[in-house]
Amino acid sequence: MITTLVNTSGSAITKRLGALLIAGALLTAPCSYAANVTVVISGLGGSEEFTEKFDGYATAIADEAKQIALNQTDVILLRGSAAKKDIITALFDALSTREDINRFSAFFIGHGSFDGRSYKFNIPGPDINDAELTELLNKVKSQQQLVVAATSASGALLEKIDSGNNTVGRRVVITATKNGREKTAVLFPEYMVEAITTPAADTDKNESITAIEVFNYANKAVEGFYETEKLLAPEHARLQGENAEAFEVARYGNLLAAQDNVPEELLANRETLANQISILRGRKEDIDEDEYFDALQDLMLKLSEVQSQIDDASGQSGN
Amino acid sequence: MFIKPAHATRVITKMAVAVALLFVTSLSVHAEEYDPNRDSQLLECDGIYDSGNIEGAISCYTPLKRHSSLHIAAEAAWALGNTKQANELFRRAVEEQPRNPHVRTRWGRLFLSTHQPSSAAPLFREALLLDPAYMHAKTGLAAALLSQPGTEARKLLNEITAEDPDNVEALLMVARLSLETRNLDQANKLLDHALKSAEANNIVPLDIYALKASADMLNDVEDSEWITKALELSPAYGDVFYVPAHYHLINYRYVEAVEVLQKAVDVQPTHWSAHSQLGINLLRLNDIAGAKKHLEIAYSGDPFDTATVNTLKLLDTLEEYKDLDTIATFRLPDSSNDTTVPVVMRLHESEAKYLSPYVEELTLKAVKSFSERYNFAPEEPLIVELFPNHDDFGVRTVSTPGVGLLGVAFGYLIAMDSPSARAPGEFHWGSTLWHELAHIFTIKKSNHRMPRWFTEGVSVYEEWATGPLPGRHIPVDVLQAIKEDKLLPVADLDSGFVRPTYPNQVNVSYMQAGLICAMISEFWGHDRLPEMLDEYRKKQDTTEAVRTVLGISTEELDRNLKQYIEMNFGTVINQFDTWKELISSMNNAAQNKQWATVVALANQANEIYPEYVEEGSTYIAMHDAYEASSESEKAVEVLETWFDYGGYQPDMLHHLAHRLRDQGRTDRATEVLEAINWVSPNSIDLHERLGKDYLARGDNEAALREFQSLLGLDPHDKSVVYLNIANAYKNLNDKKRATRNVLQALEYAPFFREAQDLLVELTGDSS
Repeated sequence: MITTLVNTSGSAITKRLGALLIAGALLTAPCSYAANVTVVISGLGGSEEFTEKFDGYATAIADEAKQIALNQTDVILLRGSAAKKDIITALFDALSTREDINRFSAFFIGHGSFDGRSYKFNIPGPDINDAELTELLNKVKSQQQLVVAATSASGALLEKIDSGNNTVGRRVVITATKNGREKTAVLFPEYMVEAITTPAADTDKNESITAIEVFNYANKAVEGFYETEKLLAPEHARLQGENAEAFEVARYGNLLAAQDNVPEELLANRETLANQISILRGRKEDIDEDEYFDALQDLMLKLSEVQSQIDDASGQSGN
Repeated sequence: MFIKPAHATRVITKMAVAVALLFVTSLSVHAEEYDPNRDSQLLECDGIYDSGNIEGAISCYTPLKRHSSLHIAAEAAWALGNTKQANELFRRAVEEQPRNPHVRTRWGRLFLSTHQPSSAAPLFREALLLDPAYMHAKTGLAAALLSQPGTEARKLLNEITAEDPDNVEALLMVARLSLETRNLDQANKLLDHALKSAEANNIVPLDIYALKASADMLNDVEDSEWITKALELSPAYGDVFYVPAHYHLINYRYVEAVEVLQKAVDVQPTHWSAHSQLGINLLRLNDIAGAKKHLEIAYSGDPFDTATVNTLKLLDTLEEYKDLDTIATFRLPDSSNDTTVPVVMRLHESEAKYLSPYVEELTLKAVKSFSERYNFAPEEPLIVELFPNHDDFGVRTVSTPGVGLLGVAFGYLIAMDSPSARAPGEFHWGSTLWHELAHIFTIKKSNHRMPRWFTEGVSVYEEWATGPLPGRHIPVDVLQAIKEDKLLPVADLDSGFVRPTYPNQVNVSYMQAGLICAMISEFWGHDRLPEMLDEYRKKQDTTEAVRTVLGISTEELDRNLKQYIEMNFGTVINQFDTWKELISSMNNAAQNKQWATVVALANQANEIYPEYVEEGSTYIAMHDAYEASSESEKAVEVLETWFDYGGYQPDMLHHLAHRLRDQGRTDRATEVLEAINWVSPNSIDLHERLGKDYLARGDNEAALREFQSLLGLDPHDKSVVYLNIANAYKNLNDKKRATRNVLQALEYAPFFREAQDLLVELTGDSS
């Protein structure tokens, strides 16, 4: 079960309970493994329609994160009145004490605003601004960090947040807009959720969906929507930071089903072949076309063989 | 009274050669020359020019640019070709003399001469407020209004000619209108009248000669005496060719227009408008290099001509287009052998890959069909251009963005909006392409002699009879016009296209022309249509062609049309108001979700006009009603009826295809999806679904077309598409291509199990 803090009525009791639950969840996290921690925050909807949408998106993201989290309590969903500033601050304070985080993801779903100087993520009660968000995110010590601000005006965050600092390792930031002036409600999160929850975004078909695949899929879908409708696009998503292709967001298929059974050696073999293929592809322009495809064919057949061994080892062959 | 004719323009004609770009002006002759209140100092300079002393004229006008009278200074600047300075001086002159109608009128004339009639008209109106009888302003206003649709210009011209029957300028404008509708007798009478009046008033008759030459050209007199007379009077008078070129152009005779425009620039190398038109029309004949040369010359002399500037920009844009070659095969009715003609598809690089299969399919089909139906073999390659940017198409068509057209045919070259130029469903691009391709056959078979109504009529009729969209799509406002008896006699139908007198008259004329051709085909047989083209080729007019081919008068044809309309649309036209009320009530009921009422009203409306599938269609409303009441089978049924009648709203077609698939009716779903290709082909889902359908039913060639097209749309996941292409090739026993494509799939997705499996299968490696 995902550690979920939900309060649609906004009562003080639930809020306190929420705070306790955060503490409980974090205290139970063991320190002997490299954890993948995900925080998903659904902001203020402003209307029933948006509230429902944002909560739906946030829940879907959290559900997927749970699939690849080593410990399900490492996935924290805040929505309703639980998504208040003090609770968020408490959560990040608690996370800042952890030393075991390998990958940390933070998703902000909802409306954002920009007053010409600072970005604000709209939540019940006082909004949380870009400086506060950056401070909170900087507190979390992790090898890799992914920040997704899927809100209107979120592009304003890009200037305030960098790709890493002393505590944070490599940080990838995805925003739904290119700057703070793109203020209308965004389509980006809808397609982002589609990318995370279906295999459609997985272009290399390795059954692992990475941050770059999510971004590319959602970005293209948004562009396609406005182009098809002959409308001027009011949002232009941005990705900042490196190694987004190495930041796994979701898994599906055999890889998900057998993730605990696959021998490390086979996975390493697969990785080696994948690297060789990648190097060959990089040299495509320098090699005779037939020679290139012959070499590619050899590598692909080897990869196919390793893939079959992985399937056999995981008991998933034939799927 | 002395009226100053076209001197200023002619001065510049010769001066510009000597002093290069210092003196630039537009040489398109409007009515700016007929100045009744010309200042004596300007007249003196004009006189020097008249004597042939060009340098003397320059020396005379130049100091007047600094004249204490701003108005005279403005006229001098204008005469010397500095229109920008003239404009500023006129502005200040009007500020100085706000109650002087003459100054305002002259300023308006300057705007007329620089292709800005919409800026000229308010100045003429202001002058007329100051002096309602001021004729120079009235004629100026008429000239400005002639460039706009509506009847105001004609009314004003009637008023002017009633008040001053000998007004040369007005007579020439009325003559121009007669020439546009090929009423040559009337035009010649008016021009002869103008000649007498010019002589009596000491007006140099060059403008009249140019129009007389136009009348001769329209009458196929190659060596008009009026050209000789004009050149004797003024050897560098390019307008004697430039003006007739206009009448070639409005009659689709681009080759002939280019020939006379070349003569215009030969006699008057500084005729910038002639260079501009020559460039634009060379482009219409696909001579891109020649077009560029003349447009650049035009720009060097007149950088303010928007047609020149826009077309030069378009030439830059054309570098982003790809020429894709194909061959059309056809067989004429009396031949036992196939013939071929090259086709060049000029498509924007961003959409060439996904669009070309469909452009090619429809073009080849059209050439096959029309060559047979009209017994005509195209003699030159066909050029088919599709523009994803509507403004580029506008410039290609009429040298200006923002036109309301969808497509245009310039002889063997057609240009049109590509499907992506407009929002999905806004137009049926397949029908537009079909329509324009039909023009090639009517224009060329008649050697450009057919009237406008006939070529449009055949194209509309062919859309209905053989095009990719079933049904006759008659807009509601056209039905309304028919009900109000607004149709023109066939003998005068061209005026509905060339000089419409009410807002939707062009559309009404298209439909009327289409109905006439459909009627001829039904009552007399389709072959009468190509026979009429033969008669037009023999230079018969509509009255003669109708008499020769159909054996009746045009009046009788008009009466037949009424009967034909009564037979086909009598029910809806006689109950038009009732039908409109039913549709309106149905839409209100739909908004209020009164679904039973919606269905009842829709059924009543369909008894009157079941073929209506446009906006506010009963079938869409009924579909919504049935869906709301969970009667999904009925919902699909009404949508199918809508589709069969020619409904083409893409989102509804996608919806129908999904529902048919839900019912297991895959073949019918495929049929619906195929129809979407002709209205909104830039859909990834469409090609993916169609490709899979074709693959499943073993139509591998069609599947390949869809998947190749899909790649052109740059889908997010290309690996699946390459795998599908590989499977299609595998089914076609083309192992080499199958292997290459499966490897391309794996390039994108190395871990793609299905592709790995296919590779293993194709290479025989099962280790």
